[in-house]
Amino acid sequence: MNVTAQPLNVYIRGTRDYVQGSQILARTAELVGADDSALLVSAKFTQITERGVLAVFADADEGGAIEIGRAVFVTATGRQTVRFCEVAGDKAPPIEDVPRVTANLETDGKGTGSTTFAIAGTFESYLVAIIEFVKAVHAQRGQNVTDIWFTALMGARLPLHTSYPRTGTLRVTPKIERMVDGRLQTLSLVDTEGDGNAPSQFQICFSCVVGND
Amino acid sequence: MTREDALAAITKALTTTVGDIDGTISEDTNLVDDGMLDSLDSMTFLFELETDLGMKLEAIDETYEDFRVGSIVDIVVAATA
Repeated sequence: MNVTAQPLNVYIRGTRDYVQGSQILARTAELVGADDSALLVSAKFTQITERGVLAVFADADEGGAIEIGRAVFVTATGRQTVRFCEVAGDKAPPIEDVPRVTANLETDGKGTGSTTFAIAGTFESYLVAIIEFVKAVHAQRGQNVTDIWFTALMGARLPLHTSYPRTGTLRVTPKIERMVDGRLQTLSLVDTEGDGNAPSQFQICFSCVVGND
Repeated sequence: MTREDALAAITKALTTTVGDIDGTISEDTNLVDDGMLDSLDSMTFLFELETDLGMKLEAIDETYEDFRVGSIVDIVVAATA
């Protein structure tokens, strides 16, 4: 599909008060291109939103909307950068939550962990699994960890239209940590083992607030 | 590693992180204050630098804030001595 700026069909899922990054990336992937070689290579979110999201392709005019992130895809025609902008107005509509897709979480409380997963094998379901997993590992970094956000993904080669393993194991290894404005920012490596085409290792970034108690 | 080698490694990590950079960086460049890296990019930069060097830079912990290139050169030279 040839588009320059497209509103995404995103929702507030369950009790969340924000639109999940996985939804934004998955809805954008549907617009990027249908070729089997299409990949997500990086994504970055600079703020969360509870409103609608506009995917702005190339140098299209975002109409003054606030940019909340961007992603880089590689397709048969080359690299494509997509900016995500918040749509002014009402909240995104609500939608029912879905069951957790990860289980058997093991973590050392310092950012290293593993989990098993059972997913539909799609791009979106894989994103949901890794974000759910890494978020859970961050939640175990202290007694009072709040505001845990997925902020970026880099060095990835995640196919948009190829099947992912339906079951397997995810592992996360912390590499860089920084305290910025009272928030812990982390960069970790994600490894995937599974029953099919497991993606290669990539970097994922989260931020959170770790309380003192 | 010499200071020149360290500067080259920093430039390589910076290019990997943000793509092509305008002009060159010097030891006086501050990667954050001069707007070359935001807080997310700074983590990627440090990851790329440590990966390229094949070592953890222990002097750069979670509270590290000095992104002046000369300061990072000092750390790289000391760590690789």
